[in-house]
Amino acid sequence: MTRWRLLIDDSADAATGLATDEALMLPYGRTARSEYAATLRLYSYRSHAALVGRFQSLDGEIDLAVAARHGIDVGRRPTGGGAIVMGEDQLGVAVATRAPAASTPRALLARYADGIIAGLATLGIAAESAGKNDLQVGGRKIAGLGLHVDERGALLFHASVLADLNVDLMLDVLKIPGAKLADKPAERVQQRITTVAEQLGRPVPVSEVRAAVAAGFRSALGVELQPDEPSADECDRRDSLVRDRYAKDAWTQQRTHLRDAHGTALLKTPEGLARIYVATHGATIKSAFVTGDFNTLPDELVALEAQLRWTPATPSAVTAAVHDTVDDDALGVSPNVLAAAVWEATERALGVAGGAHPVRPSGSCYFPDGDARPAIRSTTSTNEAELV
Amino acid sequence: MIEIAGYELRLDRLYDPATHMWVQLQEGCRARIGLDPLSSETSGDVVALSLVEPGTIVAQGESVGDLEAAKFVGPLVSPVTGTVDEVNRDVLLEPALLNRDPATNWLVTVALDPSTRHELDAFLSGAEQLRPWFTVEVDRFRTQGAIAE
Repeated sequence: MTRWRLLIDDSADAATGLATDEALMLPYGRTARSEYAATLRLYSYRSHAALVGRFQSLDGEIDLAVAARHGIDVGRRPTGGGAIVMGEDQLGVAVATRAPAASTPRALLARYADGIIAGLATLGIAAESAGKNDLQVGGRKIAGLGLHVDERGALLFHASVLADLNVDLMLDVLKIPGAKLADKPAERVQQRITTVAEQLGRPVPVSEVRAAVAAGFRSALGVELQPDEPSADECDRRDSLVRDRYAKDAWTQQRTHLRDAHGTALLKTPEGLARIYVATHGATIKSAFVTGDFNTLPDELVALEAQLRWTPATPSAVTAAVHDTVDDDALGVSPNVLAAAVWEATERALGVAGGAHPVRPSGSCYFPDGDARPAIRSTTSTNEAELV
Repeated sequence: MIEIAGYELRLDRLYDPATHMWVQLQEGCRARIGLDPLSSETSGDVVALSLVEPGTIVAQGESVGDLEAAKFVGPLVSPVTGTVDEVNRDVLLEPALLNRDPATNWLVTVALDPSTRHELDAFLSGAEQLRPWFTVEVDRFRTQGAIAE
C-alpha cells in the first residue's frame, strides 16, 4: 500500500498556513526525494483569514476596513479561484506530491477530490464534483478546490471544506457583487452554499470532518496515512516563505494587469423581476449572482451561477453555460432570453458597450431569438487594477 | 508553416520538446519565447498570467511567470538561459490571446547567455524533425490526456 504522510494542525494565521502548504512541496521537486509518495495536511486557520486567489485583487475582493475591524487576517493563495474566508469551522486540505507526467490538472483535481467525497460519504453526505472546481451537495457548494504546480514539478492540491460557515461574516468581509443588495442576503447565499453541520443537522467540529476526510483519502486513494510532523527543512522553508512572500505586501497586495469590473441587467419574467450581476476579471467571468422577486432561486439558476464562474466572457460561452444548466421554463423565459440578459450584464462589465444604455426593444446580434426581448437596464462599475 | 493533426506549427522557429515552448531567434543573440499550440490547448482557457520584470535573469527550466487556467496555476518555464529584456504587455492585458493565437502572441524576449547557446541544440526545427515528434505528442495527449511534463 502506498504510504502518505499525514500532518494535522490548527489555528494557523494566514501567512503561516499558506507558507506551510508551499513548504510541503519541497521534497517533491524533480531533484528531491521523499520517502512518502505524498503529504496530506488537514488543518484549520485561526478565525478568521480571508484568502484571495493567485491573480485576484486583494481590495477588489475583500473589504479591508471590515477585515481590520474584525481582526481578520488576509492573504494570497498560490492557487487560483475566488476569495474565501477560513477559520476554525473550515477544514483546509492540502496534498503535496510530485506532479505526475501522465495526468492533466483536471484529472488530478478529480483524483484528490475523490478523497474528500469519500470522506463526506462516511458522514452520510453525498457530495459530487460540479461547476469548474467545486464539490456540491444537492447543487449547493460544500467545498472548493484548487491546484498549483511549481517550476520544479511539485504539485499542491488545495481544498476548503465547510464544516460550518458564518454567512453574515462572509458577506461583510467579501465583496460579492449583488449579494448584499439582495433581499435577505444571508438566505440567498445559503441557497448556494451548504455545510456539513447543516447537512447533518447538528454542530460538527472541524476535527470530525478531518477524521472523515482522512478516512476518505485512505479508502478512495488506497493509501496508508502515517502521522508525522513537518521536517526541520520544511519548517525552515515555511519560515522563509512567511518572511519573503506570504507576509509581505509585495505578494499580498500584488496587482494584476487585468481589470475587475461588474455589470448588471434586469430581466422581467413571469415569475417576477430578476437582477443579474456578473463580475469579470479581464475577459473571464469570475462570478455571477441572480436575485429577484421570487421567494426561492430556482435550482437551475444556482447551477447556472456555478457554471458561469471562470468561464470566458464571450457570448458563445455564456450561451453554452445557460443551455447546459437551464431548461425551457426556468423563470418562465426561454434560455436564449436568459442568455441575452446574462450577456448584457457581462458586456457592461467588460465595458464593451460603454456606460448608460438605451433600452433596446428587441433582438441581439448574439442571441437571434424570436422571443420578445425583455426590457433591460444596466449599470457598470469597475475596479481598475494598477499595473505591477 | 506545417499542419500536424490539426495544429499549425510555424517553421521560422525552434521547439523545445521538454517544455512545449517555441523559441524564435532574434537579432542580437536574443530569443522570443511562447507556447506551442499543444501547450496552449492543454492549458485550457487562460484566465490570468504574470511575467517576470525585464532585467530578470532566468536559467533554463526556471519560471518566467505563472498562468491561471480555471483554478489551475502553473509555471511558464523558460526553455533558455539569459536575461529577460522584454515582456509582452498585450498578453498580460488579454491572456486569452495565448489560446487564440499562441504562435503570434509571445511571452518574453530573452537576451541569451552566450555560454549556454548549446541549449538550443536540443530543440527541434524543420518539418522533418517536427512532424514525428509532434505527431507522437498529439497522440499521447489524445490517448492519455497528457503531454510531456
